[in-house]
Amino acid sequence: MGTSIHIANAKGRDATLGAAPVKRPEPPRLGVPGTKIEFKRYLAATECGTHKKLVQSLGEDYGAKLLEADPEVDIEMVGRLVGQTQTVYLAPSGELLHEDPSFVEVVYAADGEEKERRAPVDTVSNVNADLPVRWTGRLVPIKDAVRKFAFKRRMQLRHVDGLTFDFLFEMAKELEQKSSLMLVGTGDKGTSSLIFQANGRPYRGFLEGKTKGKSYQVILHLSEMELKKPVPAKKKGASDGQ
Amino acid sequence: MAKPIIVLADGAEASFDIVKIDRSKIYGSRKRVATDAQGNPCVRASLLADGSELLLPGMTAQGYFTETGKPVSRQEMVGLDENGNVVETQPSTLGVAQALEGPVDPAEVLGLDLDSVFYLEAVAGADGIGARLKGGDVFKFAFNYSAGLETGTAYLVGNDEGYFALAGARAAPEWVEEAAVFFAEESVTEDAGDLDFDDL
Repeated sequence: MGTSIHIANAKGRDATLGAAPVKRPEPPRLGVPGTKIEFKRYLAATECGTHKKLVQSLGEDYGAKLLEADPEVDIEMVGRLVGQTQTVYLAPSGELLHEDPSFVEVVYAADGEEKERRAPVDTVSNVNADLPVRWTGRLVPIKDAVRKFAFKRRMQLRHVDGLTFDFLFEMAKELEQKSSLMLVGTGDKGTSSLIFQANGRPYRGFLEGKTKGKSYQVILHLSEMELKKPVPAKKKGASDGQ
Repeated sequence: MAKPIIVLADGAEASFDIVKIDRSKIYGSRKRVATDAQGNPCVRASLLADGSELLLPGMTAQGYFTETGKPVSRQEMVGLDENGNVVETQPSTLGVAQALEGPVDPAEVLGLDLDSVFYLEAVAGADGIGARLKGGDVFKFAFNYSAGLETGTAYLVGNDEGYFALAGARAAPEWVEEAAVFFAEESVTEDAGDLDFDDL
């Protein structure tokens, strides 16, 4: 699966290219030799079998009653495969909400303490926008970059026609000569983070380039964190549903 | 607490306690919470497509089934490679000394498909290797947090903040030639140390 990216080179020339995640080889999987199996979701209990309802109907200490008569198993429903579902929200009373809920963004500090509640701001993808992703001119030697940042994702940039082959091949050659990663960014000055999908994670982007004969690799390394000592947790974050 | 990472460097064992880290443990995190008109938090649930059942958290489970619908237990399953050959389970490497390879070219780290990042606290015998890591050397070792069907790779790096293990699997990008056309589905001079990650 791939996407498109609008990116400029060192001279400020821009082009729209393909970008696809770098995939690892297919790992071994669990299975039964000679038998085709599928991973499926199924109904394990109905609402009457949830802890809350069982406490209401059988009292707090209901363990022995489950062993005696299986009151939690609705034979008509349990085991039924679950296919497509629709997301709904329940009010604190347990009733179905018949209108769209509002959303609040809860911000937690690194130690797990709640810092702030605010209205969420929706973000849009900015890697294939009117303004191209730009080279900032800031080079980070590879030996420093791998000790400073955690690169969580990698996107390989690909040409879409002959002109963009030349564009990327030259870019790869230029980056290779520098033995460094080029910091790239979005916005007027190229200093903003890269967002690949609506409300997606923002990343800092670092370009790496290599050539071999008449082939090239231009890799966009994406990082959302530096390698830093973690802040000790004070308490666990709230677990309210989204 | 997880068992330590133990590495064999220059014939001596160095041991590190590990803490798995992610962005939230360094910068904090954000979470969107659904609320009703009065601002009370709501519970997210699912409705079956035919509307016959409301699925609350904890009401569903997942499992493997044959084509005829027979459930398959975990005990019946084995590891299979892409050709259907049985592969052995690989044990966890935690608590077991692993040979360090290197120092390796730092550019190797860029070929890692990263799964996890661990912050390492030196427990014993880490003075020698620690100094080399702080000096910029990068080492590689076999790593499995828990038993699995393959053994991954981890790189040991160090900086002013401490020591880190970057764990994942090697995944090399393709060399792209002119004929391989892609079809999509749809001047700053500061030092890199000034990058702002807090506002991401």
